[in-house]
Amino acid sequence: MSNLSTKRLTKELAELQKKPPGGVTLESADNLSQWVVKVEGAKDTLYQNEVFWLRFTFPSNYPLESPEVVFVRNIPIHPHIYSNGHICLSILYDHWSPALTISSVCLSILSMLSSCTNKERPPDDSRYVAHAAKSPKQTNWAFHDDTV
Amino acid sequence: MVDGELLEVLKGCEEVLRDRLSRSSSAESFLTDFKDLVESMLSARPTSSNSTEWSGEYYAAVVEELRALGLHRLHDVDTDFEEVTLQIIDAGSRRHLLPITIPRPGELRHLTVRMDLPGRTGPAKIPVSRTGGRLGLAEVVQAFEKTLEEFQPLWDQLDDLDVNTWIVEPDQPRRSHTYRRIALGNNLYLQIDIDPTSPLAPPAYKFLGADRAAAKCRETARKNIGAWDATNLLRKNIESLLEMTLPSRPMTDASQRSALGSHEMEGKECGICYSRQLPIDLGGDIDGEVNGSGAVPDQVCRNGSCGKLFHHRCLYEWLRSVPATRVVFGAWHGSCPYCSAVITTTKP
Ligand SMILES: [Zn+2]
Ligand SMILES: [Zn+2]
Repeated sequence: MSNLSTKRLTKELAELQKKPPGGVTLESADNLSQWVVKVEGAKDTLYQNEVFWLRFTFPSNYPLESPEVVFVRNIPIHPHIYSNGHICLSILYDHWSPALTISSVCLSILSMLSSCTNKERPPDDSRYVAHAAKSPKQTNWAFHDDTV
Repeated sequence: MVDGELLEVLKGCEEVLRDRLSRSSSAESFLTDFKDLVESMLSARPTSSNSTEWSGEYYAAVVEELRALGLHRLHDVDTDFEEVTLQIIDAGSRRHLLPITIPRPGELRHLTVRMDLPGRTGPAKIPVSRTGGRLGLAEVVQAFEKTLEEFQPLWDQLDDLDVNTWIVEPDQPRRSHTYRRIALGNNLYLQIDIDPTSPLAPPAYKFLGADRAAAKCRETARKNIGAWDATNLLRKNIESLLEMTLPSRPMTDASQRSALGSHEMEGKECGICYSRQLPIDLGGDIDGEVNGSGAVPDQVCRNGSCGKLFHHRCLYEWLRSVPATRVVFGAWHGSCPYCSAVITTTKP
């Protein structure tokens, strides 16, 4: 792991422990390459009282390259989330920017859950899950322009 | 794929062409290579076939037209020379990409242009004059620039919303998108659809989220809509309408991070690696060519409302990793990771 990502991840870790955004808790960070973050479905949304876990895996050239982010253990039912935990969200792939942080990624995912009006799996879920690579970063995503 | 006649001319050169394209340091050098290649192939062939000779001239003319247009406007040329993408910077420093399909020789009836503009569905077919085999790219660019002028007021308002509020939809706004779903906090969202011809007028709007909170917002908006001031910023009007300050995207702006108290979090650190001094070992880490140890962030985003600082090496490595970045005459042109404004750097 390069010095570039070590310094930045250490700062992000401290930030996440000291001042986590609402609904976001760091659950484990045994090392600087894989973290698990707990996110809670917000009140008054379709995911109220539900708890989910996001697994972040950082490449050695983070933040030049995006982290791999997947849901683990309990996968939310959502039109942009596949049942294997892969998330269709452009900032995790083509539109990643070093301006984003672990906190802001968690908040974007929470807001994606919160603005959901119809709890269902993506229409191509079974086809996608049958053929998807282990990492969602290997998928060629076509992003939905349309509202959820 | 490759046009029949051009393919004929370039037979056996596909590898060379692909190799040149991947190694060209700039669009200029690729175009020069490409033209030389077509010309050398043409001169190496017996000149019995008139049509082939003519198509070689045709492509040479296309290259000349591109050159006349100014190479700073050339964003990309595909290997088959079937599509060129131009980049146009508008009055508000926004970059627009304009992919144009190059007609095959002898089929020069119209240009197919894909414009990312409001109200535009599908590509536009622009009839071209056939005189002299010219494509008329300059005219297309001129017309496009004129259309861009019309949308400046709209994009000024949309950019202001995109930078200062938390937009949840579209996930990645394009220039053609006139709607925005804005997070208001507490799981409440405002969706607006702006009329491109009068962006300062009250937009069509609806609230999404918890029933009671949404009903309360609707009520507030109804009460205040009469006070809408079409000379003011759209964002400011929305804030007056809802009697609240629109929350900004969490944790991406410098002021929020500086509130965390770390002395290096005061905006003087690099926006990519979060350090002030570039780590000593990093110089040898990437390319092993330049030692960047001890360097402080000296690259600054020219967008006044952003002004983010970056280490030369960090910014260069970032721009280099983004496929949309272009290299022209040794300068790397891309967008700021924070605000997407055009940012330029050189190889450190
Ligand atoms: Zn840096
Ligand atoms: Zn910027």
